[in-house]
Amino acid sequence: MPSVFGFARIVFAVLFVAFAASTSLRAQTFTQDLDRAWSSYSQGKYAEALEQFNNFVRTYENDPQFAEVNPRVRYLIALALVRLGRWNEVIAAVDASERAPGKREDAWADELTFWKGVALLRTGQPAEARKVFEGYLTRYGNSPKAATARMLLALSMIQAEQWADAAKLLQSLRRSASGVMWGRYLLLETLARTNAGELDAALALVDEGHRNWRRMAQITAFELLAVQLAEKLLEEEDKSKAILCLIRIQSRDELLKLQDEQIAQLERYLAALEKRDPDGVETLMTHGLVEQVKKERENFEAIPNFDSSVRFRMAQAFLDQGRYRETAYVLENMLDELPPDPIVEQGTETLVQCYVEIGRWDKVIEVADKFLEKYPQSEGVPRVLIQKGLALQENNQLAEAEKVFDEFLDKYPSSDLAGNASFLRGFNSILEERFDVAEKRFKETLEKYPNSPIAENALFWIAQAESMGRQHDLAVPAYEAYLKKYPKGQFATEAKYRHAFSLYGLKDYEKAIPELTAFIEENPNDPNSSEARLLLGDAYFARNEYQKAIDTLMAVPKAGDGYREEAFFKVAKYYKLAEEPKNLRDLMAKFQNEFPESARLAEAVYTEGASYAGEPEKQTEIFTTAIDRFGDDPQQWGVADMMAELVKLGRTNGTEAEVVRKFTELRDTAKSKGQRAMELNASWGLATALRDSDPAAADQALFAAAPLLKLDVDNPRIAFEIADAFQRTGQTGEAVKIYKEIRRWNPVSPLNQNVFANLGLIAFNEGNFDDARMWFRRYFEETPGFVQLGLVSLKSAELERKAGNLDRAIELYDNVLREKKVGRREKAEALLALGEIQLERKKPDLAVPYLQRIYILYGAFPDLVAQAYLLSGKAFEELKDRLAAARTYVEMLNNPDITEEKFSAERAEAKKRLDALPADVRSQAEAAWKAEEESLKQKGA
Amino acid sequence: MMRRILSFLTAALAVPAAFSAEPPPQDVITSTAGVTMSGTLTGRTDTGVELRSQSPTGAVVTQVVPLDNIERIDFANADKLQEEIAKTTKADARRMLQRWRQDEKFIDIPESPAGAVGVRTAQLLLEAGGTENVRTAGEILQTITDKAWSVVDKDRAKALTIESLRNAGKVEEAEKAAREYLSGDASAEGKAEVSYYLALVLADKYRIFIEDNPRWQHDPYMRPQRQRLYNEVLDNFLASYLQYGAPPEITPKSLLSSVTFLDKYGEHDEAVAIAQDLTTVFGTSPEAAEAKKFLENN
Repeated sequence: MPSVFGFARIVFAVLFVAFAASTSLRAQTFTQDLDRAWSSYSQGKYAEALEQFNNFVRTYENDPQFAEVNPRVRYLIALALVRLGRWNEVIAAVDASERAPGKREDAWADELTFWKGVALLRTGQPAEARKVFEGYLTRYGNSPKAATARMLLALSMIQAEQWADAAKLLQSLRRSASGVMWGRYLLLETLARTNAGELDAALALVDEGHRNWRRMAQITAFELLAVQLAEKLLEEEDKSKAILCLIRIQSRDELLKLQDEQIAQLERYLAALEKRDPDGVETLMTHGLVEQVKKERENFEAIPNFDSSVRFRMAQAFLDQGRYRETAYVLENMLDELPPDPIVEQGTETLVQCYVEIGRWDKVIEVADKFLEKYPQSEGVPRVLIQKGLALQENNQLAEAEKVFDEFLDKYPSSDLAGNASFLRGFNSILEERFDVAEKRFKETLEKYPNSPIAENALFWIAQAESMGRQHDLAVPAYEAYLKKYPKGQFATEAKYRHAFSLYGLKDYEKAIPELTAFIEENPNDPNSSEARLLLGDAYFARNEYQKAIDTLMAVPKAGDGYREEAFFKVAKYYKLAEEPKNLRDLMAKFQNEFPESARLAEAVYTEGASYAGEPEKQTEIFTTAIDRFGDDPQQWGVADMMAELVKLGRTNGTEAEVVRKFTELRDTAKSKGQRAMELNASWGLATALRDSDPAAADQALFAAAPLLKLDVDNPRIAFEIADAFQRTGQTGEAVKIYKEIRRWNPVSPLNQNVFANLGLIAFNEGNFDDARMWFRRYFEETPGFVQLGLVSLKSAELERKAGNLDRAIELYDNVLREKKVGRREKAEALLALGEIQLERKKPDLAVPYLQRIYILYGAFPDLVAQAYLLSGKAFEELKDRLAAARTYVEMLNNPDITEEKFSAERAEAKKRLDALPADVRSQAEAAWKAEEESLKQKGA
Repeated sequence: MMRRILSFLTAALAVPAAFSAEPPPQDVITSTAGVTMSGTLTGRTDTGVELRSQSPTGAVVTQVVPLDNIERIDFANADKLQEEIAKTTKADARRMLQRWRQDEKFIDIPESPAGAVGVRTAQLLLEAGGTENVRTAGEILQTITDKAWSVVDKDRAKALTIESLRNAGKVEEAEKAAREYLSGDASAEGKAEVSYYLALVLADKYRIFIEDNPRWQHDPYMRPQRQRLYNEVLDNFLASYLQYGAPPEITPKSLLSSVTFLDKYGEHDEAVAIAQDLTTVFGTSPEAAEAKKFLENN
């Protein structure tokens, strides 16, 4: 299509020819004026051209020649206004052009209609713009500007807030679009759908946009839309949509970087256009777009706290779903990076709450500390302090918890939560079992905060502290005070029981019995009702109302809480004292029937057997029957106790051989029947029976039983003895395997101190010092650590000494010396080591007492004695006490216990060191030695 | 904010049709003089790149463009690469390896997708397993670490090297390397990825812990250790989901792994919630199908 300029040229040529004949001055002026205006236009001087064209119209509109050029002139006027961006005037100019009589090119109408639509849009007349574009597309649907016109039609609908129409149009446009245009349509469609309330559809578009961000030229505008949509989605019940919307929004810095990349791409394209077609429509529009996107970028950059705003919304979405872990994650990663402000402050407190919800007490403490450091003046500090204190309690850091509550009360005595802090401080003492302190603190709480919601708790717990501290005389009136003030309080039921309990504690059975009876009747299913029955039974026994006691106790229900079992034994105790063996036996038989799985089964069997005192065969029968009955239950660990008792009976009655035979038979029968647990138990019983008479056979019985072990169910005592047998016979690999399994399946067994000790000693002896260190550490940290304490301390001390941890080594050696159950040799070794350490530390004065004790008190260990003498002599030399050194050496050389060849090296050194001392010193020492010997001889005589 | 957006959008004029067109599937070199040349990059010399293009007469010409004369190179279909890569599975490992071999020579040229291709190829080779694949993956990762123009690709290669340690059973080394990486200055993409690998290492550690301490709930000394390890596993699985910049193929894997972990250890409700997120947020990922199956069975 020829350009405007080309047409103009043709027109002017025609005009020139047409008017060439006229030699009038006016004709020349007409042409010149027209030419001048056109020249200005073609040079891009649109303001000049516009003025010139308007003047031309004013001057020549009545000229007969004017009609011919009018359409074209009007056309150019309109275009000049477009170029100048004077949109208000463009509309009138286009209308004038359309009204102008005369022939016009269809291309002009195309162009002017298009620009009229743009002008209507730019002047805020979207409805009219829509009509124009719709008309344009109907007529010029194949125009090169049609695609742009469709876009502008969509924008008109958007500006007119005709969201549904806009969304429909944009969807169809997007389907056939590609590249960046696709992104433009997606952005606008998202806007339209969001405003039309089609949030699911908008969300799908946001998701698609995120997955194709490289096609989004206006990425910052898009992400702001996504945030807006997320705001609306947060109002819905299902927050997962809001999460979907927010989760892919990049950080502010990343978005700016992406936007800059898109802007750079646009600018490159614009530069190419400007080279090729500096005045072209496409160039004009691209320029506008670049400016617009830059402005969007600038505005986005100026938004404060974009990242935190998005992340907080995400955290909110997760929080509303009760997803505390995710909420905490988002908040924690964000809050550390943000400068302190009210939103971050609130977020940090929310973070504390989230960690409370998921029981991450270490994180509660950590975040609370950060909050307190960052926001020391915040009104949230009291709340956070309380949470921190509770978390410390949960983490068993009671001393630290107390400090927190103390700090609270010191700084915030008037806070609404001060009562809580005071109460929790008292409760901390309960956890520490400092009941007297707890009582005082609860009283303080009540006194200082009588109107606090926590006052009821405080009043109740005063009584509790007194009761738990066995101050029942104080507890009784305290519970009465609580019940008087809070007859239907949250602790009323508990208080009634505890009141009766304390009366029982005071042995006031007259009052205790009716109260316990009333409690049981009124609260048959209360957790305390079984214990109440036990107490009531005891109270009846105390008042010699035996049948009532028995009836009460036997009415304790079976509830898996051990109370009914205890009831059996209380009644059994009575029958024993009352010398009613038949009743006792019947009762214990009933127990065995009712509680085959009980941990007290062996006790019942023993009690039954003991009732046949003086009838060994009968006793044996009782145990044997019970073993036969329960021996194949791997979880009935009491079988081992029964077997041990049988062995003891055998020894007492001289029937060990029979016991051995019995166990052997039991084992063999169990083996043939595939009764694993019975075979294991019987093997252990056999080993126990053989232990004294034939230890090797006993061990063999245990070795044979080892493959039967299933430590997730079996008695760890049996397993331990098998492992011990392996260890004693040097089969440490097998021993280690079993020890580890014992610990694995019985994490809180009292045997674990033996297990850790033995594992550590095995590892030590095998030179696996890292393993040894680990097991010894667990021995000290995880167990009461009194079994084999001396030996473990000694070996641990050696390890610590090797590692250079001398203070810890000294501490452990001191353990060895303090421990009564440590062997004498171990003590001597510890003394020697302590002496050596002090010498290494250049403290000979501290070394000497340790070393002297060895040769004075531990003469039975000549090897250690010899070393002690030498080191002691050296210590004295370092102390410049040559006489003492000499006397030490003389004593050593004269000690009859270290004369053997194996001590020749030590003796030689002692001699050498003695000879190095001055002769007079040696003489003195020898003289002193002789005098002492003489004195001892005389005393002996 | 809405009015402001509206004004942004409506104030903008349409994007010119020519600009809106899909970039042609050709490599485009822009010279320092502003001249653009389209074609296919076929090779590399020490000082330039080889560009094969068709002249207006239809003749195919290969020319060497000196690197010093190149302002930038826009590689063909670079914008679609991430999406394509995200759809690959270990069955595509050999195909991706072939692509890597072609792209490798341009790895140091800015905007080259070779690094991203190499990272994904190495990932797929590691997933496919086998000595040869692991060795090849290691070589690819080393090349990327040494030569890639993109810091992100380098970081990801280092991250994947950590994963290869785990695959090779060098678990303690992998954990140590992961922790060092995370405490350093790596990119967000790299850290998100390494968090996932660390989570896998720790999940295995947790499995061993539970095997060694099956009754940890009753053990006051093991309970805190269990809590720490358990929470660390989950925190690291969540990292790629909830932090910025995670590579898109990593997050669904990490989420699925956390679903498996939570379900295995009895946290059923949490597992279901994350499976739902996976199907909602990453619905087109291969892992979403597995998550959907999990939800159907639960």
